[in-house]
Amino acid sequence: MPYANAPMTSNPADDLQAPEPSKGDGMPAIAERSATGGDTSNGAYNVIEAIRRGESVDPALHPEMEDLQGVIEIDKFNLYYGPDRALYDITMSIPSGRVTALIGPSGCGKSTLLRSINRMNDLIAGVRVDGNMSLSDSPIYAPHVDVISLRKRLGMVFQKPNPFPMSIYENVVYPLRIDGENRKSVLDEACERALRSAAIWDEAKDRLKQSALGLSGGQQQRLCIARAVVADPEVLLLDEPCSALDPIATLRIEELIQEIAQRYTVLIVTHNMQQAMRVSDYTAFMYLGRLVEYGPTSGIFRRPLLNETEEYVTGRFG
Amino acid sequence: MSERHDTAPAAVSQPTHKRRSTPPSALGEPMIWLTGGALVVCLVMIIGLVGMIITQGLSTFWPRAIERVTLNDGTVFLGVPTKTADEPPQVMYRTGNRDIGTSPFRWVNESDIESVERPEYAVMLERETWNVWLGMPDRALVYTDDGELTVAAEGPADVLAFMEENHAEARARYGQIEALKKHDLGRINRKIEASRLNVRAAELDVTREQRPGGSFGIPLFAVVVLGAGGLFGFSWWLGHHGRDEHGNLRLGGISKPVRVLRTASVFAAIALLLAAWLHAPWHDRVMTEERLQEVRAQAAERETDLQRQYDEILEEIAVLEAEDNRYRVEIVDPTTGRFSPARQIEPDNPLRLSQIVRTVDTNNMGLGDKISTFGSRWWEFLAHPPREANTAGGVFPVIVGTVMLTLLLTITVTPLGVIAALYLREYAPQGIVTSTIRIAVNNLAGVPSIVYGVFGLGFFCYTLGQYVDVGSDPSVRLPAPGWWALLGATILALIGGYAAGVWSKPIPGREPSNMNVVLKWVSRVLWLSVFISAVVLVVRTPYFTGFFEARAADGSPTFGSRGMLWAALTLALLTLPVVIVSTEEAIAAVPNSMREGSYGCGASKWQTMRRIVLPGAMPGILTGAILAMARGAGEVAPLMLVGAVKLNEDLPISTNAPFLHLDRSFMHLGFHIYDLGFQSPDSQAARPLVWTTTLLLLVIVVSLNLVAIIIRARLRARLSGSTV
Repeated sequence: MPYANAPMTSNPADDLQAPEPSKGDGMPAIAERSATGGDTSNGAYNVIEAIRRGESVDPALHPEMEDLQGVIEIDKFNLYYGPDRALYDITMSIPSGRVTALIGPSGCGKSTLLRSINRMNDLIAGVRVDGNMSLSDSPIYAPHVDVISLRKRLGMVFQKPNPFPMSIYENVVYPLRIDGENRKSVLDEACERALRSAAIWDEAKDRLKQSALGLSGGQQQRLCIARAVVADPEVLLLDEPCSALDPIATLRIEELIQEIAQRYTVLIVTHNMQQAMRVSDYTAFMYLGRLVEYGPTSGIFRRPLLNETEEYVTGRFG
Repeated sequence: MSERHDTAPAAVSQPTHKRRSTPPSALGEPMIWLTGGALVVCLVMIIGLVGMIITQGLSTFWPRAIERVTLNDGTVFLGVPTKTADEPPQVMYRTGNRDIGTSPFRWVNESDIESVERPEYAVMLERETWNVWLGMPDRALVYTDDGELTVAAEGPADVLAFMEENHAEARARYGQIEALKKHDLGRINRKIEASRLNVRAAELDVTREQRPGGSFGIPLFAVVVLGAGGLFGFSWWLGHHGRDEHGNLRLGGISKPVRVLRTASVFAAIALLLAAWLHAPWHDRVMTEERLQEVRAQAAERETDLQRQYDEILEEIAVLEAEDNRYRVEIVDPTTGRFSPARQIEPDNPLRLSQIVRTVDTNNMGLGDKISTFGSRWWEFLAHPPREANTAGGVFPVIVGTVMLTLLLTITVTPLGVIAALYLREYAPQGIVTSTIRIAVNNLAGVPSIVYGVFGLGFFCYTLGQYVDVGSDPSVRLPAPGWWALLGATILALIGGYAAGVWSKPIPGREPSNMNVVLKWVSRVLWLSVFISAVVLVVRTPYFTGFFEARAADGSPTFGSRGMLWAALTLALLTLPVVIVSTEEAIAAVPNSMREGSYGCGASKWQTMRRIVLPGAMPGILTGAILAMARGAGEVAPLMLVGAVKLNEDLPISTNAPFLHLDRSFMHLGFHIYDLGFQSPDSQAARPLVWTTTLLLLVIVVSLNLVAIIIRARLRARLSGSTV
């Protein structure tokens, strides 16, 4: 089962208010329902079941999302790995200057969607797409698009910290170096600014010339964030940035994301519901390549439109 | 999920089958012995080989006792026992004195020996010619100024003292004579040769027809150059077109027609520059009969001048030689009672002191003297050229040849192999073609090395070398208009191929359309035809008549025969598979997360390769280079065909322009070992040198490897983050 091994960090219900009474049965009833193994007899799982059957399902869009102007607009976007379809008619817009989280069980296509935005999927043989995507109104998948300049406008941070085997300094200024920037004063200034915005300046300032591989995992990830923001991207794409980190490091990164969100649009993929709740303004719930529900984070976690979303965010399934 | 927890513990503790004791085969005790034993066998063989080379190689130069042997039949001789045999008990003595007809080595039955003694003053002379002489010092003689031969010392002790006193000076003088002959006369000879070649080139120029197509003249030349410049500017402007005010490429990128137009204008500009160069006005200077006479007159004048300098040096040499001739020593062979002659044809003239390289009176030596002789022999071995058909003297030119060849092959093969592997692994679409190429490359490693030698001789020396020397073959040269038409067609095909390639790329994220596929094949066919016609253009060009035409016309090819460059290229080809395979592995081992990180920063594929993949793969690439180096340094068979020779004291690197003489044949340690062991006229004398030479080759290969290994270790440390 694709959703059988999603991480269960703690019971999200502890952090939440009791679910809306309008949803009916309340906690005991939900517990009872999952104990029966997701029985569909009372019609509770119909959206998920429909998706599993391969039926097309319209996403439940919260009313707040209707008129939102997005910095990234995704329109009926489909993606295929060879014969396998990974994304189904995704239509959503990523609001500017906010943090948007993509959640969903493993294999639901959230990372694929994220990597489609900076066309990282081009590197995989046999990937086909259709539908449109645009960044600040310029199309991402038009024929002559210069992928290099597209990626320069989007910063990306990966699941596993991947600092390059060079000094901390060279790691941070790498995006500038490949742009041909070699003036020391410019690089020094950009390096300090990026390290400060990634909240790692104090730890790194005395060892800028030392190898980045000597940093701890959390520091490495913050270094990667510094590297992603050094060239002032329009959007920061974070692909499960904390999944390889311990809780303390995770906390620091989360604080950092909130800080960075004041300057950049952030799109974050996460497995961790608390994380999505803590850091994001908007949350999209995806399942098996489809967008299921999209709305303000508070809405998704407290008053989801769909029962299934609630089941998922409270840890009853997935 | 939590409800499952309380069901588990009771079920686990009951075993469903009877547990057996662990069988010995599972413990694998015998495997420890087997694997360990295999390692021991390998180690014994390797240590045995290396140990033998080291002991034999080191003991060669240790001075051994000189024995005076009296046989039962009354014969007496001096000799150095070198080895023994058991059935029947025999001893081999090195007796030297080859120039008076004695066999330089002599087997003696132990039963025939009546007595053996070690006379205090017995000496072994190591001479410039005719190898060693063993004898008893008898007299030292000096020619007085009026040509009278007078005795300067008599009796062994006095003669040895006389030799010790005058030897260094005599050797210095002899060295001076040799240097004058080699360097000063050599320099003048080179100048005379150059002047002669100058005349020869002028003579060739007179008979040659006009430059094909004539020359442009200044106005046309200027137009063509400006046209090329304009095209370059146009392409720059086109490139600028797709950028915003900050110089960044717009997201829309550059459209296909603009890209093709840009490339086309660059190629057209290059073609115009080529035309401008080939038809430049300064090519118009044609050699005429009058001008040839002028050149001849100048050359004659210069040669007279050089001849005068030559004679002056000869006089200088004559003075030194007269002095050199004065000091003589008589060292008497006890068997025949003859002293060592100055030359074989002057048996009554005693040996000149300067001809003695080293006097070894072992029986009279303390440990200190022996060590100093040992050291001096090693120094001669390492720092001097060979004497006596390689059976004595040193191997300095051999060391230089080997090291240069190895370095040259490494700096040739490493970039080539690395670039090829980069394309194969990073750019080429992985499929049946790349797999086939990989298999082919791996199989190349199994081809016998002599085959590479044959290929090197046929292709590099005789085809490529010939082309470098004398240019394209006159019988296949195209007429100028035909050549330019072909060049134009080639450039059109190039542009067409590029354009088809650009349009064969599908829209990102889409399946390639039929049109895309057709264009891809069109592009491939066009590129192939471009390649073929480029080869034809080079081979049949009417414009290239070689760099060393005059020398070749004289019958002495420069690059058109065996030499250092071609040997290095042959070995580079031989070691290419090693480099390609290890580079590919190293590239594949660079984690994909690094590549993704780099792409994510907006790096292009090339930037990612240059800044992330290549540095990350560097230790592996160096491993390949080390393996290639080791394999190349130890190779002999192909070198015999493409450039290694028995003797060439002209080093491939020198202080004379052009400093690096890659056209020269060279000496090589591997070939030298073969030569000493199997091709020597005096194999008994040469045999100990086989060991020392082998030891030296071993040391050189190990130290070259060591340098590379140290560099690799430092790179690895940096990549793993343990140092900066």
